[in-house]
Amino acid sequence: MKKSLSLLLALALAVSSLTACGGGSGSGSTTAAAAPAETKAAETQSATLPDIGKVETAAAGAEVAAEASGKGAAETSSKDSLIMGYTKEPDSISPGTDSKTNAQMVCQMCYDALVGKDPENQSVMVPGIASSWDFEDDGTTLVFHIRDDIKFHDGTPLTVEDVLFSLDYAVQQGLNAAGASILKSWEAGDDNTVVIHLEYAYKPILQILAMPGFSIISKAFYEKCEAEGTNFGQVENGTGAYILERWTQGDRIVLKAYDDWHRGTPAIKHVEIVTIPDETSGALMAENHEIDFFIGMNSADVDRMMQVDGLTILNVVSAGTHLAAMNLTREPFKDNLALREAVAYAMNRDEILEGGMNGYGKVTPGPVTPGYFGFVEDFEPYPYDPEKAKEKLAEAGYPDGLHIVFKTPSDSWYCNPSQVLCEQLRKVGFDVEIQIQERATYLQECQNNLDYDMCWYMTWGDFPDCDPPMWTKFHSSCIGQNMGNWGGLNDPEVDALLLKARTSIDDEERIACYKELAEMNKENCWYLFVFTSYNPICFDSHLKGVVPITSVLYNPAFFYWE
Amino acid sequence: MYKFIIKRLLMLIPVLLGISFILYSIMSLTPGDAATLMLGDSANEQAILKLREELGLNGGFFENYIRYIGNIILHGDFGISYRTRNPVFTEVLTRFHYTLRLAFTAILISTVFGVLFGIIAAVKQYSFTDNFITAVTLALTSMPDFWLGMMLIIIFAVTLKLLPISGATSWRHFILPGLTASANYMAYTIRQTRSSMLETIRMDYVRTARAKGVPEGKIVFGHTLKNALMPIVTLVGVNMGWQLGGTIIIEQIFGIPGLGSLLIMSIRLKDTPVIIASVMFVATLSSLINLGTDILYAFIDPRIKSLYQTKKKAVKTSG
Repeated sequence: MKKSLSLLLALALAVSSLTACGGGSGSGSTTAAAAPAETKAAETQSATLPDIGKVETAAAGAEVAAEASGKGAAETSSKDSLIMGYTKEPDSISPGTDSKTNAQMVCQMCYDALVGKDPENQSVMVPGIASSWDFEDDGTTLVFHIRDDIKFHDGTPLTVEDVLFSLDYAVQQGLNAAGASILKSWEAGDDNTVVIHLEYAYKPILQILAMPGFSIISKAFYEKCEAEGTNFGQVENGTGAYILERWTQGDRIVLKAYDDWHRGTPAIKHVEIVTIPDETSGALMAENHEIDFFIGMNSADVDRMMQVDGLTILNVVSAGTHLAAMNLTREPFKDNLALREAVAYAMNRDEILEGGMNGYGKVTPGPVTPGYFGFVEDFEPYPYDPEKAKEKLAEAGYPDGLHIVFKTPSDSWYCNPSQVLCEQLRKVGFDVEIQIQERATYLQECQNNLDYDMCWYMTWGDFPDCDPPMWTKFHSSCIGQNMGNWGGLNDPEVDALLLKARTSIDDEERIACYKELAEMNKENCWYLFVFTSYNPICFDSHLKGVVPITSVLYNPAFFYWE
Repeated sequence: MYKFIIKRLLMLIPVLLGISFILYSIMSLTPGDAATLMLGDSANEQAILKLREELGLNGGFFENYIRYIGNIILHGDFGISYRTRNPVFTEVLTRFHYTLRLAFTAILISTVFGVLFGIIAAVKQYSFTDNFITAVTLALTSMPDFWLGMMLIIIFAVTLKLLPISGATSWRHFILPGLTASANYMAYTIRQTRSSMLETIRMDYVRTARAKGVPEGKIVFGHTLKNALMPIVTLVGVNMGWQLGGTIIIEQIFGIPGLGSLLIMSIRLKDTPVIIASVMFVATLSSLINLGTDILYAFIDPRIKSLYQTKKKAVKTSG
């Protein structure tokens, strides 16, 4: 009896200890990439996940919106509160101070910018604080007509002086540095206008000025905070759709609707943004209807969540493009096109997407997010050809293989695809040593010191235009400390092309420049773009007005309950 | 006794100084820059340099450290968080009460049930009940707490819908995390209680008490448990220290905005003032808890109490 019991206990111990082993599913996991998941055909309304990429935003976004407005014409629910879950907490909600998307999301809920975006199509600009605007002097001057009927949340009226002060404030914020470099000067004009002079004509300037970082703040309130020593980042007095009621650090932000919002009183009167550090817990809370909207789902939870009644899951193409970079400033990849081509032919993008992201993404062989202005639609990358890769490796002078170090941060959405790529490279003869690093170390070594052979990273476009990601990735001025040209590319022809695209106000000319750049990148194998990931979101099916947004900056002011 | 307490409190000072120096050195020597991590990958060099200037990161290591420690000692100023720009001490105290609630819940569950089941296992030694309790303790120590937490969520929150999954707004939010945090320590407490009880239950005075017809309950709770308390109190004291500093994973799973979550976020962003303040805070608390445990011994064990009284009398008579 005792012997049997002992054996049983030993077996229980062995089984219990094995429960700690297994593939990770949350962020920070460094386990091996999951096997490709099968896409299941679910029977709920979200059965076939719409591949809502930015390239289809106008169409798909319109489809979703049409469905919403059709049903929305019927009675709306008396429910007027919304609980949103997010996996990270903002550090600051004042404009331009916190790079996290949820911080910018709350910022845009509480503040308005000079211009806004159409909630159903982020490429279309709509009036914000400015009722209208004019381009003058060949696009180098902007005249904004400021509304005179807008009040801050404390009841004080917004004036031209606040707008000027806000621009002074915005250009000093580190996050706005790229946009600030384009603004030359600004002053009050006639008849309640603000005149902004640009360093050069810049077509996407309105997109920059619509960003949360350039929101309009109250000069008097800011000065009061400075005088009293109040942390401006943790309070607000904007003109946006929502007023900050309460912020419990680490727990939730509670907002209430601003009834005098110039774009109309929101249907959702109360919003709580809850911090849920664990992605799986967030998905379970959505399943349990403890929260109504969850941003930050793990792709591994999507299939299961599709089976849950009452939930809508949307796979939104993100503003981030994943790529593999080769160090162009040192051996072995410097001046060795054949070697870079070997990597290009060895890469199977579909396999990387399946193995690294469970298939949740869109292969993007060209630069930038699909749907962004300047995205090259019909671009053909190098085909997957391992035999050709081996030939190129031999041609490059390494017939017996080559040892390289591949660096990647430990976050699963970098680490998992990296491991798949490394395995593909090993199959063609590379001896790859993968180094999974903590983020700070990875940034220090790869971004600042260019101390790597190959690395994996992601670019992000804050608004739907090619210029920012292309400029930071390809221009020679962006090499080095905290800059985006991680490959170290220094080509005057590329610099000239980028400048031409940036300063032209002719769309056709700009598109032609980006197409030429894409071809140059392919010919020279500078950067190997792989895929754009999806940002799955889930929300209660009765919540309407949700249109997929690549930047993830959702505003509940445009939602309503059915 | 008072001299003992003062001596222990004074010993805290070099300990805390040592902790602050070690942590500051580690944060300075590890790669990564707080300003870069805060502004993101796309910020330009000028913006990074400006923020470094604002945060006081441009001086040398010793200059920065001496300035930092001087502010703490002379002004009680732990600085501001690089991340939120709030005073560090406010950040730590705001988060601490969540960790305290979680730790208290875990300690209460692990101590009450640990002692209870330990007593039962000792009294019914080698019975089915004892073996069952032993098996349960083995299971509790074997389960990783993140797995146990998720299982409890699935059973009680998702399937049975009895308790909430995440958050910290009501007492109900602390039940599942408290159970998760208490599991391992409950197992240790059960084993320790059982072991201590078995030692004392075999003493001659217990046999005498039984022979005199003292009820079994009074023997167990009135005599045996009292004499078996010392190791259990030690374990509870150690448990408290662990709970205050070691609930990071549980806080992440259950969305409790405690010190553990704050520490993780601060480490990721190299928010050095918050890291040092949090660790020093927990170290101070742990030391005070250990001191409290040592003082408690005097109240539990008359022999220790008499030791202090004997010394006092000796001093008085010699003086």
